[in-house]
Amino acid sequence: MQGSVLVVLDGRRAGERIVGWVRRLASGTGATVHLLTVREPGRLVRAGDRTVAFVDEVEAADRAEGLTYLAGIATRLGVAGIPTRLDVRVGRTVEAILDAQRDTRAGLVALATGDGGAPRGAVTEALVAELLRRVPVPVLIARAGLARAA
Amino acid sequence: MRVKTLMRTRFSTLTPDLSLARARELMARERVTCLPVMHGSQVAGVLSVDAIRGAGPSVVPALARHEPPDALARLTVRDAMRVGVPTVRAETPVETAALLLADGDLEALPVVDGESPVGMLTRQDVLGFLADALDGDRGPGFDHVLVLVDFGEGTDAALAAGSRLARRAGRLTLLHVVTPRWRWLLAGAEPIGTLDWLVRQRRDRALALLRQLDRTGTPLDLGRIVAVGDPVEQALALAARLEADLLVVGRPVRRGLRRWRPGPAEALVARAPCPVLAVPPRSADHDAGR
Repeated sequence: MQGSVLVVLDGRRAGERIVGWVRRLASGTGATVHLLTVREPGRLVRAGDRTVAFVDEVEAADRAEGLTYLAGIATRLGVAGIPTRLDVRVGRTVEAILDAQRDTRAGLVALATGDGGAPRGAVTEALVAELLRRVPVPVLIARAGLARAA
Repeated sequence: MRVKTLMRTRFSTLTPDLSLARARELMARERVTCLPVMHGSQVAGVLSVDAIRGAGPSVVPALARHEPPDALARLTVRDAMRVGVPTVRAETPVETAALLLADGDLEALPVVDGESPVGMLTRQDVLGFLADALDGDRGPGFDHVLVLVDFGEGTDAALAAGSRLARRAGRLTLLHVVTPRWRWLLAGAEPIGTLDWLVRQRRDRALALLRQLDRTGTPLDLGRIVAVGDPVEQALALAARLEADLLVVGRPVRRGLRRWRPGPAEALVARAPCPVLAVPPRSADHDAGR
């Protein structure tokens, strides 16, 4: 495999199972792995009449937290010698993934579905179905509860 | 590698006075098996799901009858938490943390900065790391790739992707499923023997077509299977029986209202015993263009 792989992570442990498979695909091939996490748009935080945090502040904090999370995953891939790049986007999950795939020119999108009780922005089966309709490149999907892991 | 790489930084904390029933609800909602218990800003101990289970009514019905049904609501975190649990720092090597988890038979270790908790490192995190390390010795690719071939517009792309992702000297199995769609129409008029003969004809023809697909000159151990029945069910059954590492399926182009109807790829993703690679028809062109 050459080129780049876009790995979508939603912050849940179930979603991180895809990392093992991506490592198996990308190690020793020179492929770059783009780690993407998508956060929902920030909202104004108010306490009574006072504004505690503006939208851009909330989103900046979200981005920082997302980068910290992805950095941990990147280290795991870095141990296997796989070059990684980190990407935190804010917005609707499907659109953000499509934009990221276009921007990175990724030849493969990889993600794992969660196991129910999904928060907003999580990778769900409905999201996977929409991605399968719209992503123009192969999509590698590991579902929740796979008996065998990578 | 350091603990900071593997630790969870988003976690809830418990207080000693919280009821075990509430603690259990919280852990179920957050899908975790262990949480730190705080006394002020310091870690006082940890509470695991196993500890809650141990404090609850017996799992033996005859014994459980003699215990109060609301035991968990009456007991608090203090009654079941484990105290004296070692803590680690973000810069602690993972190996040291793994030894602490193993020696103490612990579910998780609190990660502290000074005395404040900044993360949790669970046994599951460490096992995942070890699995990564063990798997790192293998070459790239999958050991056994199963490709669902329908001879439609997505076949070439699916086959190319399957060949590319199989490990060097790995196994690539091509599966075509003959669907006897007309059986229910003819069953009343045609003898069963004729129907079986028709299926056999289609199966033989499919096998011949699968042989023609072997034009990749691949060093892979190539297998061809033609099955009869529902493509999704057959692919799922075969993936499980052959212990395939990856199932590759083409995504046909659907237009109009059919675009919204789930196809085989969606059904396979939901139930496959291994990861599924869904390949769009033009994927081969896309790859070539890169």
